[in-house]
Amino acid sequence: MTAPSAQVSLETIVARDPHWIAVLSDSAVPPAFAKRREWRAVRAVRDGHFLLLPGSLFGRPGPRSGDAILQLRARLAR
Amino acid sequence: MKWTLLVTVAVLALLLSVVLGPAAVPLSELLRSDIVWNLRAPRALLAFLVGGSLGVAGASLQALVRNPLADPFLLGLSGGAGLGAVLAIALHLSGPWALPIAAFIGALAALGLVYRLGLIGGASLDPRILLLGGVAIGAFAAAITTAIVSLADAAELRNAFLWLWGGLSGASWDSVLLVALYAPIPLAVLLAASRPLDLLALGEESASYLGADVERVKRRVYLAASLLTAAAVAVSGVIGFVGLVVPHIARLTWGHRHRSLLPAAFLGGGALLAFADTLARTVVAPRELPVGVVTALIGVPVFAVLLRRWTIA
Repeated sequence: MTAPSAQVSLETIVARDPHWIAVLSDSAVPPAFAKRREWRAVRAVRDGHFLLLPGSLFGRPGPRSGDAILQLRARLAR
Repeated sequence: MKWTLLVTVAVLALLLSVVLGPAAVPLSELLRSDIVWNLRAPRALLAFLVGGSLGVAGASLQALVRNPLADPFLLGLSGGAGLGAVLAIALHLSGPWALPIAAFIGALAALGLVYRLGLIGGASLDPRILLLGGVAIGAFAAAITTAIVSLADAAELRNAFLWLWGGLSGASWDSVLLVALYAPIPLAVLLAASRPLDLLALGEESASYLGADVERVKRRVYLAASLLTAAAVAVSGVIGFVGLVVPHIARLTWGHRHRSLLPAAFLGGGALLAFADTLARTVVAPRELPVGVVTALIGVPVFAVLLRRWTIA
């Protein structure tokens, strides 16, 4: 991938075999796509491993970006 | 001979779409791979079923309205389905089936309106009025769709845009099963009407002298083709050109007999869409193109060449 962000096909995600999926979301429930059958092929979805990141901290570049990185590190370490 | 060739092409298109993809799956692991079983196989089958349905619906509608321009989406169904889908996206309706159901309802609403417009004096279905009504209802629905899209947020707009050009990325065994259970009914109705469809080419009056129950055939064919298209558009969005180009190509080889034309259009449409979807998934991997873009890019040049030969000969 050359672009910093892109919409990719599901097959590419399955091939990368992620253990965790980070979702920019303020809600506490896993995203709706997790219930779709074709997404069961993704390991993180099967295991229910979602990092739900609140938008106020993770969605805005600014002085609190450092806090965001610390929090992400702490949550990944758990 | 030509049937063997067509079946070979169809099987080849299906095989290609299972073997090729953005992720490299070694041939030795092909049969055990999760990617193949859960993603590529249902997607290939769905593409084949949808393409075949669009091909048959297009061939029957061209015979019904006796107009070579007819395609499954000319009669306003794409407008209605698009409006339903965009409404579902804009209203944040959730659930895996919200979008297909909304699109299906939108297509049925357009179908009902066009059908009502086409019924003259409450009984007789006029193909010319059907065409005009279809174009008008389609344009009206497209106007509302554009209004909603232009007022929606950027992310939603992108979703809606992708959907309006067709895509099979939502394919799963559930959607394959749904289409495989639903599509055979209208397909059988259309195939059963193949003899009267042949007669309709002579004009309605001659067809009725030759023993066809013209009014019943027209209603049946219109409803069956539209219901088939509504299901296709619900699971895959608006995929253009398959229903227009494939019947014409099939007619060049198989002639005007619908008994053989309709099965040929099914296999040809399925092969074309399976092949187009393989390209849509792989040429810009890991991203995807809307499959309607690919069918247009393949379909139109092929069609132009054939048209040229056809008019010279």
